[in-house]
Amino acid sequence: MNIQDTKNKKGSGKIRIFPDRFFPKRKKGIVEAQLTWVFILIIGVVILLFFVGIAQKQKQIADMKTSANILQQLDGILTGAEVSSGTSSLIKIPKIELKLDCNSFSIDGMTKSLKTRVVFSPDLIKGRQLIAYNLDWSVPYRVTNFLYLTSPEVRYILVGNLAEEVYETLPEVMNKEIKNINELKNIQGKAKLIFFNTLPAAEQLPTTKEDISIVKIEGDLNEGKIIFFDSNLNKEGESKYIKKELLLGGIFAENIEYYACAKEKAEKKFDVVTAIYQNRIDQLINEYGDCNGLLQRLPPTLSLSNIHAVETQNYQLQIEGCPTIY
Amino acid sequence: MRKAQVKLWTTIAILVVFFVILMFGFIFYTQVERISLERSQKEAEARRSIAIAQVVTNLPELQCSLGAVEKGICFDLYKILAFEDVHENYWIYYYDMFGYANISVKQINLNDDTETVYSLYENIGDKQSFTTGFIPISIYDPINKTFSFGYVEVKNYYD
Repeated sequence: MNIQDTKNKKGSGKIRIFPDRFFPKRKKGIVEAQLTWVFILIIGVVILLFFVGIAQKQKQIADMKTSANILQQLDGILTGAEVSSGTSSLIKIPKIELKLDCNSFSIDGMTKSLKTRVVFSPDLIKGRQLIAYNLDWSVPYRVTNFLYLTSPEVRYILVGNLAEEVYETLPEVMNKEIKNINELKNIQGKAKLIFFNTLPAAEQLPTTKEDISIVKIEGDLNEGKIIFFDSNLNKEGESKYIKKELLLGGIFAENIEYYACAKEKAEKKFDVVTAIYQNRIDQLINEYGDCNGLLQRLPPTLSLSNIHAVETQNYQLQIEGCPTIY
Repeated sequence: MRKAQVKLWTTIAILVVFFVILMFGFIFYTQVERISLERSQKEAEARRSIAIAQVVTNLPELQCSLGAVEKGICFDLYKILAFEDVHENYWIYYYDMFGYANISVKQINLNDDTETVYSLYENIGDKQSFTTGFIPISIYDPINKTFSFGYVEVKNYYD
């Protein structure tokens, strides 16, 4: 504390202490200065928060915009893949997590409908590449194209008597291999095990079971049933298939629910197409005649024997020079 | 006291002006974004009408075929007629596929320079705007075994 000399004395003669240099002892002004600083601080924080809020909102909007763009592009790719048949393509995509179910696909919570497309795929595709493969399902007339989606990160292991034939059918770009039933123990990482008319014992399965899914096919390439199991070989469900394209659907589909839903969409399409073909046949019979009884109503149910019957009928119509069924 | 009051009001006035300018900037930015979004939407709808046209020309219930071989961008005349008759029974199915659209096939009659119009699907709802896509096709008559020219017109409706 400085004891001031007369120089620092204000008229009253009172002693002023050191801090008075910075905070002049005026009764009205001292409060104002402090309040001004507080006011400035508050306003500064408010403005800062305002801009930070805007920046965060903009980031959210930008992310949503990016996801929407990617969804739009993917939709276009799926449309293109859907209308061309028997093609496989390796599509480069941004590093995203693409979630799929029977009726829609989504990225970061933004969803787009698959509409009437029949798509078989895992429920989650990660990574920078997407494999799209499509085949037309003809029973015997073309009903629809099936779209199979997967990524090179998913490993498909085929075991059994049909393994080689199915291996040749699957696209080259897929991560696929054929193994014997005794070679499964050492499999590491995520894999889908597909067994044709055989099933291993539990002890023959890979030791790390968390990322393993199992499917058993009973039948041949044209007809049979697909059985879905969990990684401990507990049966989850089964479904019949007709033609190789539905069989492949069982290989690509994540689980029995997905497979059953996609198969239902395919059967619905079958009903629609059959109704149109039926109406067409009726009109042809009215205009042209039934071509010596060869032009007949189509069988309404889907079965391999009915498919063969219609194939034979169509072939005979072709030979006779009559309008064909398909 | 008066000086302090004047200072305070000056500060407040500065802040008010600052926020007004910020608000104008924000309004301008949102307007620009809105116009950009509208343009993007219009482009997306135009692409959608082309996509619908592509899907229509690949529908097995319309494409002409000989045995198991499907011929190019060709529609079977009797399938078109059957589709006209039957599609109402599966309205929800086709609504899922096409949404709000007006799809027709126009067959060009070269003899008398007229067009025969077959309406395949019509569902406009209360939409006002539309984009149009055209795809030329050939139309096959399986009884007379003749081909004729035509095109698919797709009008995709949106808000």
